[in-house]
Amino acid sequence: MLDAFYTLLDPILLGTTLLGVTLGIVWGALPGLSTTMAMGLLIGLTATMGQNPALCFMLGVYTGSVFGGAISAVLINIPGTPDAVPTMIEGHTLAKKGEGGQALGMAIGASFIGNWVGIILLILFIPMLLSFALNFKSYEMFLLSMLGILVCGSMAAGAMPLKGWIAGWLGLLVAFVGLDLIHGVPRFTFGVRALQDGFSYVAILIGVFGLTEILKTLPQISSPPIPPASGSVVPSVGRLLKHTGAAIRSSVIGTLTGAIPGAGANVASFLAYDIGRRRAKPEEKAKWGKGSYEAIVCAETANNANIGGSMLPTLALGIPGNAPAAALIAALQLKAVNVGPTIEIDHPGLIWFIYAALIVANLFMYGAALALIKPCVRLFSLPKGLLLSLIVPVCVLGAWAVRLSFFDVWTMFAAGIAGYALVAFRFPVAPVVLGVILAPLADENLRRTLMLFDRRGLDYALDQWIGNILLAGFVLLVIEGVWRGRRNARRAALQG
Amino acid sequence: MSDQPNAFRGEDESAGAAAPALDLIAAAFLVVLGIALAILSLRLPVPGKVLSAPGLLPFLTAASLTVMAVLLGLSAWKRSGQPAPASTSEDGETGRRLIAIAAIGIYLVALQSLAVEGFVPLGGQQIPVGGFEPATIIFLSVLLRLFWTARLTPVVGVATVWTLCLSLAFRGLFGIPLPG
Repeated sequence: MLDAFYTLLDPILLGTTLLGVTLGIVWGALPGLSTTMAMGLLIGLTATMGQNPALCFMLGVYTGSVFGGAISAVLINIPGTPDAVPTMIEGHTLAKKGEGGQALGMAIGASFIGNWVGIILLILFIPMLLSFALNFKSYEMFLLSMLGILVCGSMAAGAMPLKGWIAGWLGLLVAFVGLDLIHGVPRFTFGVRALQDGFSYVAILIGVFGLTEILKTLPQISSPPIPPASGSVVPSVGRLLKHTGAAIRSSVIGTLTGAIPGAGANVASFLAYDIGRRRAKPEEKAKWGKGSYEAIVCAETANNANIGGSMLPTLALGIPGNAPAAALIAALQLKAVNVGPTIEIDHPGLIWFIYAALIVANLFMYGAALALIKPCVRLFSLPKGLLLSLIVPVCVLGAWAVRLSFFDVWTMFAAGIAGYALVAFRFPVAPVVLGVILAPLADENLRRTLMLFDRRGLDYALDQWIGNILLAGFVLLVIEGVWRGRRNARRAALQG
Repeated sequence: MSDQPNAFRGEDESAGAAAPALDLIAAAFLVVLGIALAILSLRLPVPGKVLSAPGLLPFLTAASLTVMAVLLGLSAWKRSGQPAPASTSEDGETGRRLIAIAAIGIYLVALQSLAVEGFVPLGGQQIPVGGFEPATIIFLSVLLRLFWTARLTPVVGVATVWTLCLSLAFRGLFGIPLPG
């Protein structure tokens, strides 16, 4: 760990971390620009960086943008990122009472604590998960990748999991285009040479998370509200200490949620907010929805602790914990780093470097948040028409920069339009990206598994208890998702 | 976003049941896509055993996609009498969106076709300039004129400054050659 910190003392690494955190906070603070969009678009900037600066930059962006969403949520009642909705409900009510600065200060303090708890739990649990994951063979890896897509679909489209699964399956099909990994047979290429290499997942990621959002929001005519004066934003230690219990509980909820593939900061902050309201003391409960500091602590600790949690399956299993983690995997793959059970063998010391980078990013986040709130307030007066127009060339450059290929730019454009079509038909887009990223893992491991089972017989297959438990989990998740979808449909029919 | 914080409906709140007609269209498209891809998967060559066939998982995925699409269609059919979920789109949004898509498409064609390279002397330095700069300034000016303000001076000013910032950041700071 000390070696990792020593490496991080390099001014270039500190500078890239700070740059990432700053860009992340500003990006997250701007209404309509999400963490996932930031991670997706800024991958292009890491194309020419070394492995360590790229990691520092991406982890900085991740840490900064999750917090950044709280700024616009509190000050102008528009959540910068979707997970900042509970903070918006409570924080903006406080801002209207002239306590916006204190609400933001509380959000900064809570984010800092949440990040710490997430990192500590990550450091504690990853060795166990890694040693357990070393037992995973092709059968387990196939099922894990399919489970990742299934869970992501279920979590993304909570009201109708079927649509989330369809989106994930579409991602799988897109990723099958190109030469197959085992025999080198071209699949769905229709004789087009450019398709033999398959689609770049980074281009798809930028299209689906960046251009889709632009196409969704750019044509909407809306004037940004003028933020009120926020006052001092330095967090009150006394007030923070008063909510220590809620902070720790919500951080644990956030970390655990982050460890579930597909469940991101949005699920974490809503869940912690809801549990926090149920468990609050009566006098605190009365403030809930009318400007509660404890509610802000619950939501902000949870969505920030989610970062550490999402790193657990990402690093130990190679299954992204959420959509921004999928972007991180994409950035790592560009540096020839394949995360998964053998990460410690293939890349010794990398995990410690990631812990250290997360800790440094968290420290920078605290300082940068205090310094950046006032400049961010000025940025809120920028109209969406201006802001989103300027992002279009960034999408183009992000897709171009990875392989210097114009085919990737067209892929990004097509993915953006297809993503918008999915959104218009009310499909979630995150499972598409997860499907694209996990398809090679699923494809290769399924065929290896079947060949192995064919050679060793049914008894061997029945003996694979970890895989069989995962298979049972897969079936149960399908049953639960179908049941949830039908229950929601019945409720909607009764309300209609 | 929902007004009720407790009414959580998933990581992506806008995802869920659409108007029955939309879901029926989506289901029909997905059924056709699923069947087509399943047939294409079966036609792929099998160099070894069937169990390691390149089309195995694509076939299973396409076939299960078809089943899910049928389920989506059936659920939409059952909901056909019910009121459609409220649309958040305003009048004229679709037209503006199509204009934005067309503008981006033309911009990409221009970037791909323009193969210009030159150097502009600035403060004793030779600054590289390619097709990216003029194409992006014109594209951004059009987009900003359409979606931000009608005044020409700020539109061209912002487009030029932003393009130069991107050009300097990517070429100068990160050493990435630009398209065009």
